Amino acid sequence: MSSARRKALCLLFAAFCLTPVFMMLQHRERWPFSDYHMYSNIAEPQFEYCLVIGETTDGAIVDLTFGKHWPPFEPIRLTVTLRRFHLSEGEDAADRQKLVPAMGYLRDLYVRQRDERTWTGPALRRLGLCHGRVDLAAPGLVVDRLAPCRPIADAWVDVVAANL
Amino acid sequence: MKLITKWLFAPGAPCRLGWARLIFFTALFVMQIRIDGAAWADVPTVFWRPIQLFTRHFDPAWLSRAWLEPLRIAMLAALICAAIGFRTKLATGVGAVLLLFFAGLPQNFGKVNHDDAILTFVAFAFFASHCGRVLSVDAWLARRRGDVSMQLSPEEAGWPLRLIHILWALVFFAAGFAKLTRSGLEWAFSDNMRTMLLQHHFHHLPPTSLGLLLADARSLAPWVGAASIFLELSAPLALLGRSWSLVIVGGLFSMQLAIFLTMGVLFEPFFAIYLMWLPYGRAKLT
Repeated sequence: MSSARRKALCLLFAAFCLTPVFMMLQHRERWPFSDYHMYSNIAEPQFEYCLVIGETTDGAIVDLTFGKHWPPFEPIRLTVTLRRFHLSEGEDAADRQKLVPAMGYLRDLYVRQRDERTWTGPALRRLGLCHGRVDLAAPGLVVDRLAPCRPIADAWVDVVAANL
Repeated sequence: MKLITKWLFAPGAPCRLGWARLIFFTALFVMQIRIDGAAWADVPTVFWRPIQLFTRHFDPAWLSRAWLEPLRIAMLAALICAAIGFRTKLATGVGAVLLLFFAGLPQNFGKVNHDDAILTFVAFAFFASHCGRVLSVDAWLARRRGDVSMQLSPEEAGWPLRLIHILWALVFFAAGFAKLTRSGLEWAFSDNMRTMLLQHHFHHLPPTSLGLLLADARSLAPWVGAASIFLELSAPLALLGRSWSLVIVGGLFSMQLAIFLTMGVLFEPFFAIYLMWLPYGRAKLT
């Protein structure tokens, strides 16, 4: 190995290894570098979450968050984003306006998959988002994802309209 | 400094690097072919929230299937060429750049994940190495031509895997460091672990109910948390040698598997990196 190549490789080592160390010490992240702080804060027993739900043609409410219903979104990326739209306030209040077009996109995705016969869930009448608030310290806690989740009134999108 | 460079450039088994390239790029290919990266072109811009890498150099208006699809095919072709070692330098370079793009693209849509970032660093490490000189179509063609300049020296064979191992260790050390500096030992010795386990049964889909059982065992959960931080902070010790790496890499692999089973969080990209620790091709340094 030539001395020039060895020096170039030392620079590569420095760039690849010292940048993550810098990010770690500064508690900063700039993709693809990160301080990997995920799950590093103490989790609060009171928390909120959102789920994508659907009303089936026979009126049942089903959880459509998981599985591969909404490609290219992974379930958590989608629900975290929709939750942010729903809860946005203050400087980000304009993001609240994004919720309806975002749900419209999911509706279109559903209709396309249904028409291409690639939809693996039940037939739907409308699609929506529900918002759950849970207190893990509350007595008689039942671990049921859907039970504490309340539909968000203005997030419903009608699938029937898309059939026309 | 001399000691560090001596360690970084300590000789390695050439065929181990060849196997590592073959396995890593095959794993990447398998992961990427299952993802329709071009589908981001159909996602409306209301979801667009660019990370810095894309803010400066990218306009979401450019997102269209007409050019994302060919780019995706180019990436898949580059990954498979890199795996078999055909035009390896070009293939690993194109593969690394396009992987950076396709791994970075989803991060602009609402949430930033970091688990696949390490794959791009590893791909660039292979690009900088001479990994195509062994166990490759390039090497076979060179042998047929009688070209002896394609041989890989042990000095060139060792550092790429060492760099990959360091990157892997840094990720886990950073995760442990963040927990300790942001929350202290309370992260483990409080109800935190139990809370996390229960929370994930609401907003994730764990494949088993082991998390609920562990959450119920209130005296056990803190020790599981403490063991996690200890293992994460110990990750750099895996660089000390085979017996250390066996315990620590095995421990962290088990931890990530347990996180999936109890909380439903799958660190799939890391499984490609775990393969880089396997002792395949432990041949003589010739």
